[in-house]
Amino acid sequence: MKPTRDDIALYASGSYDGDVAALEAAIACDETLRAQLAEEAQLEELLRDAAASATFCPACADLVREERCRSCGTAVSPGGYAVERVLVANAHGRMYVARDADGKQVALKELAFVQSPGADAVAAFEREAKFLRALAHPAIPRFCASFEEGEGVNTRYYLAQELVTGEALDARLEQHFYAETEIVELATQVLTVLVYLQGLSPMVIHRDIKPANLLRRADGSIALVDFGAAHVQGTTAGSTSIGTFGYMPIEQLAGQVDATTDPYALGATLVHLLTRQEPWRVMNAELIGTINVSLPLRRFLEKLVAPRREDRFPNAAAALAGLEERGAIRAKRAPPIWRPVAIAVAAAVALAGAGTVGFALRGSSEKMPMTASVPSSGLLPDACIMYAAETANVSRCMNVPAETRQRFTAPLSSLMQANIRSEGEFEERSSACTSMLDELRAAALPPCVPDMEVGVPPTPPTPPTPPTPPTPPTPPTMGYRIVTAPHAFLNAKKISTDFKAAPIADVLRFFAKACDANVVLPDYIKATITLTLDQVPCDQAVEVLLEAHGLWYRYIPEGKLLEVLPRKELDQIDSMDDERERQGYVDPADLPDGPRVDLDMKDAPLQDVLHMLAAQAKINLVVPESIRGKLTVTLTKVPWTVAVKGILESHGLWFRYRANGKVLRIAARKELDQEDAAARERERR
Amino acid sequence: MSIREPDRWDEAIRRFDHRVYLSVLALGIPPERAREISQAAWTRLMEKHAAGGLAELELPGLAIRQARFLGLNELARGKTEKRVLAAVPDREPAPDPERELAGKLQLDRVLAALETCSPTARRVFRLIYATPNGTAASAARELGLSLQRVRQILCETRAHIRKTLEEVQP
Repeated sequence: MKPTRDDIALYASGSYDGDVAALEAAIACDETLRAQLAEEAQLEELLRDAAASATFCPACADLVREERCRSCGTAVSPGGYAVERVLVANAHGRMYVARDADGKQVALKELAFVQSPGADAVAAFEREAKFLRALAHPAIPRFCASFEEGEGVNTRYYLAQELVTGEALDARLEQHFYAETEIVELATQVLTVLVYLQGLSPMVIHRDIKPANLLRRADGSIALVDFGAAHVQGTTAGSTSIGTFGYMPIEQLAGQVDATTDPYALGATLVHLLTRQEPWRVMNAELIGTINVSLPLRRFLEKLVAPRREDRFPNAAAALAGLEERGAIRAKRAPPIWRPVAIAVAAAVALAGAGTVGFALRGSSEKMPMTASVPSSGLLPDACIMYAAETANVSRCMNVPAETRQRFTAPLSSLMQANIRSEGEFEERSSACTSMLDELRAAALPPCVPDMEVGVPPTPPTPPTPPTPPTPPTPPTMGYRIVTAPHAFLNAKKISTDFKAAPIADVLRFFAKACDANVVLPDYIKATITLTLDQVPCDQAVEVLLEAHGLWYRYIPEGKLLEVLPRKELDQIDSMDDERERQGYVDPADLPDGPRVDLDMKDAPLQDVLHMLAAQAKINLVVPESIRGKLTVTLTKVPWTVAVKGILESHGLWFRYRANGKVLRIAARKELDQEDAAARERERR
Repeated sequence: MSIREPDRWDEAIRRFDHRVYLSVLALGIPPERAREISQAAWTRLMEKHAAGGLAELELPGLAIRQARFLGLNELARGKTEKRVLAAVPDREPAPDPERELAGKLQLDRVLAALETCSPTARRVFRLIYATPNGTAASAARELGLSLQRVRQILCETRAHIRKTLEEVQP
């Protein structure tokens, strides 16, 4: 073997993959090769020393031997700040994360003069430095230094400021659904900063409030950044238009700004976060009226973004006061028991878009902020569903005087009629139900004693029973036990109700709440129901209702979950299950555990619901675009796996889960069966 | 690097042995003997450390100096029969400004030569030499290239730098 120079070079660098022993033997007995190896070893040492002393670009990792990277132009150590990485780069400059001489991290903004030699850009840069130097507020980054480097076209301006580590709200919007409580909290925080800015003399106007300029820190506090467009009132009265289209009021286009400008931009920002659409698409009174938030918050938003200045809050302080006066911040102060539900519901608000969403009620006497939802497909207001559910419980309490029970059950038949034709009627009905619900809760009725318990003497203590032999464990069935019949579906509870021409989705939601159960109903099941029940056990009431409409259900005891489907489809699912069992098929990987789910949604898009559930369990989701549809779902504290499986099954879907990548793939059950059959066939061959 | 605990010797040897070995090879000593010398260098350091002779170890500098000392001794043995083997002092010899300047110029030449290589070659260089535990295989993974291609680029880059250095030297 005669080693080449490359072999020796690779050997010296530790990358030789041939026969090392043979190579070493060849080198040992050849003086020339030994000399070559000595050279390569020296070079290797030199290369390692060179790498240790070299500087690499923090952005593109290329070798940098000058002040900035030749490949991408990133500065390496401007003004003695050691650049660590590039946060943002655009045509006008860059924002770096850098360290000063003391090792403290700063945000270093660079204005690239060579690419935008406009006086406006330089003026904005100097303006920002000037404002930051003068401002002192925890929500505004502190000024550190400003300087310039280079000459002529190579001039660069730098502004070092406190590094705010957080996520811009526009970026956060991509994976986060804003709850009403968060919106109120955000509005309060930003208005507090604006009150500070407007309280300075002369007043400072930011002029560019938008989601990209609001950063959310890890502790939830908000920082307002980018004062490049800021303005001191009274300094100019020209027609210079600075700001971002969609977030600025109409008069700002003509260069006119005042104390209403920033609150307006905040309002546009909040609308963007709630609707997930650019504000210019939704910024008119009619569309803002359809945003699915509580009435006080909606009115507050309408006033913030009123087209005419005189219709808006006069300044930030007035807006902050208005936020509190209108009771919109009640949601923020809701007791902790509501928080998980409110968050889930608010996520659903953002998801559902056109749908209506209700709050789940869990036996508290606390007053709950009601959503005055937009009517959709003639559905009933959530307040009415809740009122009916609570009344159903009262009607069976024999220790409550008959006239009291009558007082609350009598209005039910009129309140539950689904004859709502307009938003006005919807709000009127919602308000009537809310006041009845308030009245019912205010009545402070005694703890309920159901009819079956009245007059029954207390049962004597039962003697201890002999221990029963342990039952053999039943084989697991994918952690998802389905009971079709006979069942034990809450038959001890009795309910009374009176629906006239009510949508089946509403009636089932009523049953779910009154019977402490959960329900999943595909959107394609449509029916209107007139139903009068008096003290009927829950299971019988549900069965009568479903049977009369060609429907049936599967009951999953783990989550008290009712999957409602047309009878024929259930039969098909059963036969397919039998077939799978016959072939000895076992799901390749079951779902991971997730948090318990609280959801109460009507007509919510299936894809959005699945994405929300995946986000809750922090797993990745793959759903083909072809899978569409809506559903009505009422879930309270349902195990995550049961919720996912129930929803999938009710839509003829199923899943495959890869635990190593935490990827959940959704597909039609038939497709998955075909894939499995093909795999089995391949295996057999 | 500073080592205070004896049980960290293994880690130090794993990390720096190749550099120590290279320093002996660079003297023109055959591979097999160079490996023995580098092992002897580590052994001497460990013994001296265990005897309390070294308060603090600066690695890999001290190991390289020890190995080179042994290597030079090996080369000199052919000329003078009797030579006392001893451990090198644990302090870096006094800096020589001229040597430092020459070394700095040499590094500058290497980096200048590297700058004239292709962007891919520079990336390979960074991934192998400026990344902790960088190897040709890890560079190949990072760049999405075959291992063979990375080796080829590495050889071309080394040849280019070697040629540049030879041209500069009188």
